[in-house]
Amino acid sequence: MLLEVNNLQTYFQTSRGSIKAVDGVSIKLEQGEILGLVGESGCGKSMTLLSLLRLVPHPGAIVGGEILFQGGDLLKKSSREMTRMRGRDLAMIFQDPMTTLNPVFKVGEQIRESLRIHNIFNQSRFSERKRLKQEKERVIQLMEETGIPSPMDRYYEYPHQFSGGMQQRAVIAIALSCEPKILLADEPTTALDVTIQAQILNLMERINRSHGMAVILVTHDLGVAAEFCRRIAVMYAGKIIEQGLTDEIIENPLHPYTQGLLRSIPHIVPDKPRLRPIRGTVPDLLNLPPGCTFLPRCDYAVEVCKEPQEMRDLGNGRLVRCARYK
Amino acid sequence: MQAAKIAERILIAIPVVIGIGIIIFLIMRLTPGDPVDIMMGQAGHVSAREIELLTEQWHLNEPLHIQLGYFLRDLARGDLGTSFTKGRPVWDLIKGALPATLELALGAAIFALLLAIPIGVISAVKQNSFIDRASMTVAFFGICMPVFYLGIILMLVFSVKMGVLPTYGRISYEVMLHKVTGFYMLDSIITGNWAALGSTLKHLILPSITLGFPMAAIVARVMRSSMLEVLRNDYVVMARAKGLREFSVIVKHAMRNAMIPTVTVIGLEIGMLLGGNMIVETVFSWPGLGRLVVNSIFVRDYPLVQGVVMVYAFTFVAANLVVDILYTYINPKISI
Repeated sequence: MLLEVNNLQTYFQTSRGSIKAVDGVSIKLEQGEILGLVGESGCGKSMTLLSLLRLVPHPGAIVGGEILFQGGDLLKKSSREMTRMRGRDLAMIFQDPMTTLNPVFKVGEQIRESLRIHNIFNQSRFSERKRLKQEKERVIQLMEETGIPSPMDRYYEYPHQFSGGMQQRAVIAIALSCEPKILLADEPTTALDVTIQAQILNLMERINRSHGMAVILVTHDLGVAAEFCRRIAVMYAGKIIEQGLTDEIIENPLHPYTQGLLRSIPHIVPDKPRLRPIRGTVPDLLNLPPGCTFLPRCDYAVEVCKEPQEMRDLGNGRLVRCARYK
Repeated sequence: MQAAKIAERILIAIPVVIGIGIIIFLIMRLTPGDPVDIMMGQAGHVSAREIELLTEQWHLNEPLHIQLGYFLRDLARGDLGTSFTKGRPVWDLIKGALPATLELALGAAIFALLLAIPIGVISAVKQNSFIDRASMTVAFFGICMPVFYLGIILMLVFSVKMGVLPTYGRISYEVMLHKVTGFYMLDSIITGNWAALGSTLKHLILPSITLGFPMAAIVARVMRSSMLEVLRNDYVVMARAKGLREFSVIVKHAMRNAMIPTVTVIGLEIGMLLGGNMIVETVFSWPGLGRLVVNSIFVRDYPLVQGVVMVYAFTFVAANLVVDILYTYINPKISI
């Protein structure tokens, strides 16, 4: 097991009370595996990723759980050790490539910075000039690998001279630079055109295969997750409510929320069935129902749903948090 | 390419400076009070013939447009005219006073920037902390407080009560300094006169703080707000996710971006330091351009006022041009 997250809790303390953005999330990730973390905006997917890097913004804080990675608990590491692991062991890419690259630095230099921070080419026999040359060569190679055309020229360009898709490729090159074990991808295709989306997903798939890099893909798009991930975890209001192999989840969704999500995907077919959106809205995280958090929107709600629901293990890695399954 | 565009900007600045010259020419002549009357009033007994002679000599008997013609003709020759009251070429008087003003402006700018930029950054990083609230309160005072009041208070505390700093002038009378450039700091370093350097520095402290304080206040506030803006950006999170230390995240990635709006304000403020220093120079009896122009306004010394205002206009335009050029270096999205 490469990564094991147990009962992770990230809360935001506000004057109106504490917001449980991540409320007891447990996930496992095998070497080289792709896991999809799916849910609506505000369900805590992105905060889960930031928690893994211990980069939760103020006033949020990780208040409980453990993140086991390579035998150690990331939450027990010193902030200095954690800084050294970011980018080297766990890298992250973000939703909007336009704002992820720093506008005042050349793209190539931003990729090279990662190599420099983690001393990738720092053998004592190298002079600074030779080191710089090696770093630049590696950057060009990374830009080639991520499909940025004429990398020699584009090294010296600024982010605003790149298109959105190219920017995301550059961000991926940064993430890839230190060969991390895990790539955390926070909605990497959401801000892009559909055709570019497919290209970026292809690129990530290729990297996953050729580098054996595990990926956690956060997305609100079940279609993207189904295309790309081996396993899917569905999140709702800070909790994972269903988890399993992608095929099983798509063919036989168990939780009413997952069923609702699948029904909300538009299909391109003649005589398409009417879309049936999930009624109601995401609950206020400050004011969650005491029992099942999906209860107010659920068509199958019964008396027992007013009690907190435990995760039920149906075997074969299939987990669901719903009273309908024993 | 870049050089051609800069040259174009300089050419555009010329009509601006000439326009300002015409406006100040007209305003001076619209001001009530006749220079000849003022001068003769001070001299005591004068004859009608003497008044007539002076009026003629200064072309004050001619129609306004002819006078303007003389002024523009001289300006085109690079001649700012001769001072009514001092009888010396205006340019000589300006040359004598300019180093004092520049030295003070430099002192004020260094004080303001060294104070304001770190405070702005720290206040943003530690938003709502004690240091943030305290420095923003002080900055608020800095923006509201009139400079003459601040100058007098500083003088009262450090000169009168504590007796550690001088109240007026650029250098003590006991210290002799051989003047080379007119910049006393530079002169004392060139001539190796350390006593003079010490005295010059001491004299610079209070006027620099007085002049620089409002600038520090504005720059700190702008720096803080643009830093807060920048810190919300994804590229800051990205920089952390790359494994950069927090110090590098702030100083390298965030500050470089936050400087972009701040530089604009700094440029405007530096123009203000050079142009808006009349009050500080008067309070501290600083023999610079500000005092020169204030005194010459009182006696309606038209050529001297016009000359000094032209210098002000020129520095303001130049400061803005420098900011525009600097801008293209710190913001790759902008070209001149």
